[in-house]
Amino acid sequence: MKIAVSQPRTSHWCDSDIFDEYVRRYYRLAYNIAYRMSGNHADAEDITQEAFIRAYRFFDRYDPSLPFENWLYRIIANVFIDDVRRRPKVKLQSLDQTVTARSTAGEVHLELPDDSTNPETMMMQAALDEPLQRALESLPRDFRHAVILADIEGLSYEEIAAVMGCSLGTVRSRLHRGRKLMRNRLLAENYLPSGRLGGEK
Amino acid sequence: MNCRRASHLISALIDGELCGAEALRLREHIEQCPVCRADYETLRETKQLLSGMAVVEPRPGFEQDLLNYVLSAPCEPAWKRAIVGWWQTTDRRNRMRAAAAFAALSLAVLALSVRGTLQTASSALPSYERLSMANGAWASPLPGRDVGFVHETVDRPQPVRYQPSQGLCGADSMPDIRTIPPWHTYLPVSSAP
Repeated sequence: MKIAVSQPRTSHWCDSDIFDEYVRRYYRLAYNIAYRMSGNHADAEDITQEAFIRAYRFFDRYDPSLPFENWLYRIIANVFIDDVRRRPKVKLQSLDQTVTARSTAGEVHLELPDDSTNPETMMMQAALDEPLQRALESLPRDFRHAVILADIEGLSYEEIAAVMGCSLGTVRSRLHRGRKLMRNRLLAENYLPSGRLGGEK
Repeated sequence: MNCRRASHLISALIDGELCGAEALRLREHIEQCPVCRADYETLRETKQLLSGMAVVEPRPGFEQDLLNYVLSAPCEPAWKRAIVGWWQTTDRRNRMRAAAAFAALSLAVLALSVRGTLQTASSALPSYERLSMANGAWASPLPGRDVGFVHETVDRPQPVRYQPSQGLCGADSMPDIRTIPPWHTYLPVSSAP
C-alpha cells in the first residue's frame, strides 16, 4: 500500500539529495561570477563555497516558486559585500591563468552570440579575455558587479536592482559609469576595433 | 536632445532598456552627432566584448569538494537560521532598512533610560532643607550660582534655632550668630551673582 505523505516545507532543509542537485546545476554559474569579480581561482573557490554554504544552511528561506538563480545571485552579492570588509586588500597574481584559457577554449563557442562563431573571432576573443578581466578588476566593486550581471550574465536592469538591492536609477548609472571606465581603459590599451581605426573622439 | 542627456542614456539604449519614444529621440541624436555616435559605438563594442567572455571552468575536482564541504555543514538551530539566514539572504536595501530601524530603536531605548536615570538621580538628591540640616547652617548649599537642581527647593532659608545641647556660646539665651545664613541666600536664585 502506498501512503502519500505531504512534505512540510521545512523538510527540504538539510535534505542533501535535493540540494545536491542544486549544487551540481548551479556551481558553474556561481563560480563564473565569483571569478569575474575576484580575478583569481582561490578567491573564486572561496566565494562559491561560502555562497553555497549559506544557501544550504538557510535553504528553508528559499521560495521554490521563484528561480533559484536569482536567490543565489543575491546570496553571492552578500558574500561579496561581507567578504570585502573582512578580507585585506591583496592582489593575487594567478598562476593558472593560462591553464584556464587553454581548458576553456573548447567551451568558448557555447557562450558566444551566433554572429561571432567563426574561428577568427573566437581566437580574438580568447586573446582578449585577460585584458578584459584586468579591466574589470580595475573597476570599483559595485560598478564591476553591475557590469558582470548585465553584460556577462545577461540580467535585466530590474533583476540587477533586485540582486544588488538598489533602485533602477542606481543600476543605470552604475552600469553606465562602469562601462565607460571599461571602455576608456580598453581604448587606452587599443583593444577596441573602432579605437584601432582611429574612430574614437 | 542635447549631448549631455544623450550621454546618460546611451548605455540604457544599448541594453534595450529605453522606452520607445526616448529611444527614438536618442537614435536621431546619435545619427546627427559624431561625438555621441563614437560614444555609442565604443560602448556597444565594450558590451559585446564582455558578453563574449568565456565561461571560467573550475578545477576538475572542485565539484566533488564543494559537495563534500557544503553537505557536511552542521545544522543550525532554528533561531539562528531565522536571524542569520534573513541577514545573509536578503538584499542590501532591506539590510540597510533593518539596520536603520535597529539603530533608531536602540537610540530610543538609550534616550528613555538616560531620562529615567536623570529623574531618579535628581529626586534622590538632598533637598535644601535636608542638605542644610545635615551639614549644619554653615555649609550653605546656595553659594550664589545657580547649580541647577537646587532652585526647585529654594525657600527663604530659615535661621537655625540655637540648640542648648550644642553649648557653643555659653549664654543660653543668646542665639548663635554663626547660624544666620549669609546674605546672598536671601536673594532669589535668578538674581544671584
